[in-house]
Amino acid sequence: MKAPPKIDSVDIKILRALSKDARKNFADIAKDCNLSITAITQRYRKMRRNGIITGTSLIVASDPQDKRSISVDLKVEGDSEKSIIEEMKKIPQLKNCLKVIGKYDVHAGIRVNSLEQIDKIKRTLEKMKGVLEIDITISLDRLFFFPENLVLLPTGVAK
Amino acid sequence: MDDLKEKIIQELYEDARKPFSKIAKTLGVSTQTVMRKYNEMKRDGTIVLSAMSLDIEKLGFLGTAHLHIKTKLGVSAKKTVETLRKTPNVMIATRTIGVYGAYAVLAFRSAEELYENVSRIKDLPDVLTLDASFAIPGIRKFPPKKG
Repeated sequence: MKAPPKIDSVDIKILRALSKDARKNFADIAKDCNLSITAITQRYRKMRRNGIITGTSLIVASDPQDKRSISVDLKVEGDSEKSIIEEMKKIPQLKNCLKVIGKYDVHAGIRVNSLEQIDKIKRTLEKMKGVLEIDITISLDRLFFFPENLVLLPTGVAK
Repeated sequence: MDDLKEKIIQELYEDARKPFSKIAKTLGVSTQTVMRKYNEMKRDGTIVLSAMSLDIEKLGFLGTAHLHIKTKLGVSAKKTVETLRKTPNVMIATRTIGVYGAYAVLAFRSAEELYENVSRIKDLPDVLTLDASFAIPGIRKFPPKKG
């Protein structure tokens, strides 16, 4: 495995601020860290480049399309995880899809607009080779993502 | 929600940090208007969360545990989820409809930390059973090659 990029306490401060508010003003972060805005911008850009920051998430209370998140967990035949994950990546509403070990073999997060859409996804999955069991769970809460809970530790001095 | 707000939201879904000036240009309105609408939506709670997504593997985490929780019969998962939301390294926590009453994702750095945190969640007063699956992206091949 490639060594992870190094982050220090200043990077952690930036990440903490941005995991509470993606639009947080760099000037405010700079003030908090006693650094220049340029220094913060440079660090931010670096973390985007090396993939620590992967993008942004937005959760809206009164979504016009009433989007909901569902979790799809599958039990599958021994060697079919890879092909199933590849197949699942074709589902347009898919947010993420992972190989897991334990109670299930494959986990996916999907955003849907309606119950009909869930049914359609389920029928698509039923046709996939190697799928043994499909468990679908619908999230009741709109706000379910708490990135600020992550305990971030420095992994070294960033150069 | 008015039409313009909806359009601003669509732009922000792509990138929550997209500059207001850029959004304004795309939508053909002034930057001030976009800013005003955005601030309104933040204030009135339309925008619940806007946050950076992080690659936790690159931050030194080993992986994530996906927890499927059933609460005791007749007991709602509300309290359990409230507790989970204040638990360090719990990135996702929600009440659910389906076989389980709650779902949570817990990030962990080591097997010891995982064991400790899962045990603690299992011991929460309302929890009846806890099923778990683990995503450990560092393991590229499973089972590992012999030799």
